[in-house]
Amino acid sequence: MKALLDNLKAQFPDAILATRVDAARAETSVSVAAARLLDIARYLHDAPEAAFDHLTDICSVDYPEDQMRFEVVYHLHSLPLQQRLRLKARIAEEDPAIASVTGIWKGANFLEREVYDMMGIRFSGHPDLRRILLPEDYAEGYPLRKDFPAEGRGWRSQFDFIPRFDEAPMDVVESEISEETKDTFRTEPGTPGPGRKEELLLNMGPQHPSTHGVLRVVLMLDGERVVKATPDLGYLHRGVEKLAEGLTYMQMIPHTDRLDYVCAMSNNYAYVRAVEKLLEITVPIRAEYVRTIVAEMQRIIGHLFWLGTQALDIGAMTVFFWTFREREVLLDMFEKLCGARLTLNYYRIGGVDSDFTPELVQRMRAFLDIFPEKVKEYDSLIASNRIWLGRTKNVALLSAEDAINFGCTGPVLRGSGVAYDIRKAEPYGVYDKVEWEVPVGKNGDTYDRYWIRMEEMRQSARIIAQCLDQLPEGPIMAEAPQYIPPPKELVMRDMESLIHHFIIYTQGIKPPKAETYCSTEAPKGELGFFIVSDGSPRPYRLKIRSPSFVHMGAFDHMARGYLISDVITIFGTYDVVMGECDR
Amino acid sequence: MTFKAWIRTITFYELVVGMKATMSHLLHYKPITMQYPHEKRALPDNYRGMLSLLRYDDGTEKCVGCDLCEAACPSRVIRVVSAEVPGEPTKRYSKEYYMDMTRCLFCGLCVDACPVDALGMTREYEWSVYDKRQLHLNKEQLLAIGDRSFPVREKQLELQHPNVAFFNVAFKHLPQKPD
Ligand code: SF4
Ligand code: SF4
Repeated sequence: MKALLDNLKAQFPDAILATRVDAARAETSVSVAAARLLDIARYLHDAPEAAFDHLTDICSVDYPEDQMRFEVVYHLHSLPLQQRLRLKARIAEEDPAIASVTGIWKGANFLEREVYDMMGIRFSGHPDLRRILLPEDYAEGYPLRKDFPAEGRGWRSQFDFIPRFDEAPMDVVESEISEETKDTFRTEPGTPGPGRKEELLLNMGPQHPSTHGVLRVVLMLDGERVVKATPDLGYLHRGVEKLAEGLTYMQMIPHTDRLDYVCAMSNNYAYVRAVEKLLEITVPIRAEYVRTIVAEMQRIIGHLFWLGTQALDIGAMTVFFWTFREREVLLDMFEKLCGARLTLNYYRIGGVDSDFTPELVQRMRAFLDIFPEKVKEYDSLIASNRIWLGRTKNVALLSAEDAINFGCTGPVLRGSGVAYDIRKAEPYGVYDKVEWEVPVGKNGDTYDRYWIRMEEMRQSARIIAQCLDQLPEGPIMAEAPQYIPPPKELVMRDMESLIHHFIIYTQGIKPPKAETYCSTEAPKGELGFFIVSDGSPRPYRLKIRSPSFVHMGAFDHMARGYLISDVITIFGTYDVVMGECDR
Repeated sequence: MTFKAWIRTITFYELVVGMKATMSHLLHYKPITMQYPHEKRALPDNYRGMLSLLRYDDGTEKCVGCDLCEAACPSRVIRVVSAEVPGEPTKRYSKEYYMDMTRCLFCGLCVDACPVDALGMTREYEWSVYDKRQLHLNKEQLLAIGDRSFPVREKQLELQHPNVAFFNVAFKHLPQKPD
């Protein structure tokens, strides 16, 4: 890493403004001049000693007091060299603009649109710079700027664009969609368009049963073939990132449940890990084991849910009922563990909420005894079924280069033959203490991704079984009185605990002034949280790098040339959950 | 295509395998769904359902009006108006206590925050109403939920740990629930 920084300084002596190595959190960040960003990015992508082929995330931070108000933050990741780098560029307030890196990483397309949408920073050279999460005619400004109030701009009933029952309905002036709007959904001039004279723009969603949430895609069609697919996101946008700026670190945990509501535990885990990294807390070993067990249970649940719904989308009904049967067993265990089934709020900063009791261990073992059999049963239904093969083999092909370039992670990346799993590459929890393998596909088609998820379920079961065997005794919460509330029994007996309890719940915890990015392998891919802390009890900026959002960026690329019915398969193969995609 | 594969294709072998799996379920038919309003699931004790306020075994409210639950709640469900217990200047209680259950996330942070365990999450979940305003609960309603859900009550805190007696409240203005 040091050699790389020296190299950078030698190559761009005037453009590298500062470098910062955070040894405790193992993070490196480089501040560069915004004008030279494109050159530096290209060097970092192309040079073999840097090889930052994977763009994890782009986000922006607003510092209204500073002269250069906005900071655009790029999180780069090198898959061959296994290193991460944070690139930061400052730009001034009036007419904020920076060069677009879509020419280098195609995945930057959606990420830059999000920054534009939320912070109002223009990216020169971006092919399609429109609002992405908010409506196109949103006129209230840019919500993640600090001058936009965290509590919003009033109540729903006061907004005049929401029709109210006591008002006469508005006259619809123009029912036809303007040519200009249609143009955004047409293919770019120069690319081969439909062979037919008559073009067809088909609106799919937002209320389509197989879009797994509320997602609209405008398809440009040639007969039944997709020529261009334009996803229209944001129907489920709740502004979680803005919301986080008004919540203390602990209060944010239940809100992360609602990101990917199918796999709430994974979100909890990703978030508390990021906060723990910020606070530099180590978690007791029993808690690490419990966390790993629960995260793998959640992975099995997530994949069962995915298998059931994808099979249902493609036309196999039985699988859906069977996977939900097993999912139910695990959800019952979650209910026993933390009292809820979907919105779990189980992980705590520094540990977990309740202990994994011997009764649960027993129930889990009983489940693991039958589970491999059940997976075989699903396989017997579809793995060699000719309809399933026909609908998944060679559908939605994604080459390894494209998958990396689009920033794909998780099963989508592994399906294309890239053996990258954060649990192996940067082990957390107790993943380095158990034996398991990373399944990798060959062709990068839907069938490979299906196979990978099936295999991951088996591996998860293997991990859980080993964790249950090794499960040590001990506390489940770390001890750090200034950050972690004391145990409840002590609160009314011990004066010091009482004081800490009051301070933590009224004022929140005050982390050091720092910033950190922490990524976790969620069932859908890399779920990362980037936290900027200014030393106050609320995050200054919290950015969620959600795998579904990044994967949707590759949607157009994957859908082109396939049939309308395959579009459904592609939604399914990403395993998108719109709650996480739109945040 | 090998001969074996060809035979498999024309005999629809994989469909036969799939049908075998389905048929075996038909034989060992055991429903796993429930006829919900008629049958109900047994919920675990720590189920995070409707919130309630609790009392001690002598009928005093536990709540000392400390406002911690209000501070801990991520979606501003709770509003506490705290006051001195008349005639006892060292003790406080919550004069008014409101919960807007339309916004509750059922996260349980308020229960974690309460120092005297005055809040409890019950196993009630059938709280759909026709009028949203009915979900804006006041203290009497919350205590009533607690009374019906937690029949076994704790001893007064000052009897449990004498050194913290002065944190406690003893305000008996509410009628005791008939046992
Ligand atoms: S359960 Fe959570 S959201 Fe509901 S009142 Fe308690 S703290 Fe607030
Ligand atoms: S319910 Fe508990 S936390 Fe809330 S005001 Fe009463 S004593 Fe304090």
